[in-house]
Amino acid sequence: MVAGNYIYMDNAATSCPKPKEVIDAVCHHLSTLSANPGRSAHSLSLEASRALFNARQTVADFFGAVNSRNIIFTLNVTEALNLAIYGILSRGDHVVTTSMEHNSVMRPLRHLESEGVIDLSVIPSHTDGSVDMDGVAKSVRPGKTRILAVNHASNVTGTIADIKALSDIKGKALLLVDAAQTAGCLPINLQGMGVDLLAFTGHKALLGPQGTGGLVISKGAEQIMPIKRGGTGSNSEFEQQPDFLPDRLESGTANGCGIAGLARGIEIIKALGIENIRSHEKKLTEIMLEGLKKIRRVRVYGPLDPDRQVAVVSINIEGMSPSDVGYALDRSFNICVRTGLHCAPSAHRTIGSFPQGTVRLSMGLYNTEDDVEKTIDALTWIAEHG
Amino acid sequence: MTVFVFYSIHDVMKAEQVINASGIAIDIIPVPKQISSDCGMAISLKIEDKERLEDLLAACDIAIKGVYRRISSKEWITDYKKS
Repeated sequence: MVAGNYIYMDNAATSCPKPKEVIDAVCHHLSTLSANPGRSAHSLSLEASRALFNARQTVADFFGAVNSRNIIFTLNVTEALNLAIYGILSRGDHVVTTSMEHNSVMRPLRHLESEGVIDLSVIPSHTDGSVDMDGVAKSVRPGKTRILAVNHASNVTGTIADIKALSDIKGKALLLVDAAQTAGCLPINLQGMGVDLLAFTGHKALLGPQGTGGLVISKGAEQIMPIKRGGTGSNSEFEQQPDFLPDRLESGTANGCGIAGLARGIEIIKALGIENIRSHEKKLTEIMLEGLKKIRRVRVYGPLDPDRQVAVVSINIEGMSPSDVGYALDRSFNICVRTGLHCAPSAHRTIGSFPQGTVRLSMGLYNTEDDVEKTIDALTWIAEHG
Repeated sequence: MTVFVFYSIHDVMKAEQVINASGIAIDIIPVPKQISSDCGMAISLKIEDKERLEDLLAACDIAIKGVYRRISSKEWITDYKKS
């Protein structure tokens, strides 16, 4: 879809444009439900509480959570990942992760490692971004590994991980899944996939506003501790944080209007059918990959297979820096992409594109086949003239 | 009047949802200060509906923190409460 006069190919960063229904839900909440949820029993506060509760139910149903109280709303997926990592790990724990992780996983883990809190094993992934399953299986230490942290799909190559298979080899560790690139475009079911902690963001494929996201907690991970404490509207006679969910992990006034928009986004996805969204994005990826093959001097990273990746394609044009390609796409063709390292230096080392990074073309629900063809034409021109 | 107190606002909201479907008439009120200094919410209903609500909440796995009865404008007695 053209957002203004632009072709937007940066959906892995944030989906754009947002559906009118999402914008309306945010505006409706701001105009009519802006009282503080859970803090009073007056009629407007109650309405705000109901809206928050309903959104929690919507998210719980969408991800197959055991109970809606196990949905913790956060500012974004980064905060959700930090909550899972700092809320679960303690001194002496071992953690296994992969070299394809985003800095939202890597930095908290590297921090805990440098502080001497955890022992960290980063398993090098294959050059197409796929997980080295044998390497992971061998690194899990029975009774010692507390978390196995993996992304459901890479934000650099789009490579999809087999979460169920990872769950089968995690032993007693908790499986923490970073669903930043998959929530809203691949089916996710916590119980069916054996996920213990699922971190998601609201502003990418779930079509919600920025400032929304959350952590979905399975029964087996309910002992998670908070990373912030404060007012919850409950147990106010005590100076200690409540121990029940979601209040234990959610303090301060929620992003009510944002969460209303997120819930509306999820309803839109449910109505469209996530399988239909997936097949649309697969088709766009297929056309993109086929088109890119025909351009001389273009190197494509990742699995090069629409079945094995989400609609994220990383490329480089030989002899050109990613930023020059991105600049030309934007200024000469009104095509928005992201260039560089995508907050995932380790992933770029894995695929062989460090330190220059790549040009990342990421498609979403509202892109069309025409968008993809225009992007291929533009890249062809740049490769010939750049 | 009988008042049910819950552990979290989330549980009050969930209780309201299942009660609405059951046809029991309730109101959501601020927790009376004679019961708790909590700034949260409670569910009030007629005394004759108390057992029906208890059964319904048990069936839906919603934990009750306490049940109280109003015997005069200022006096409440505790049917039961949990820590």
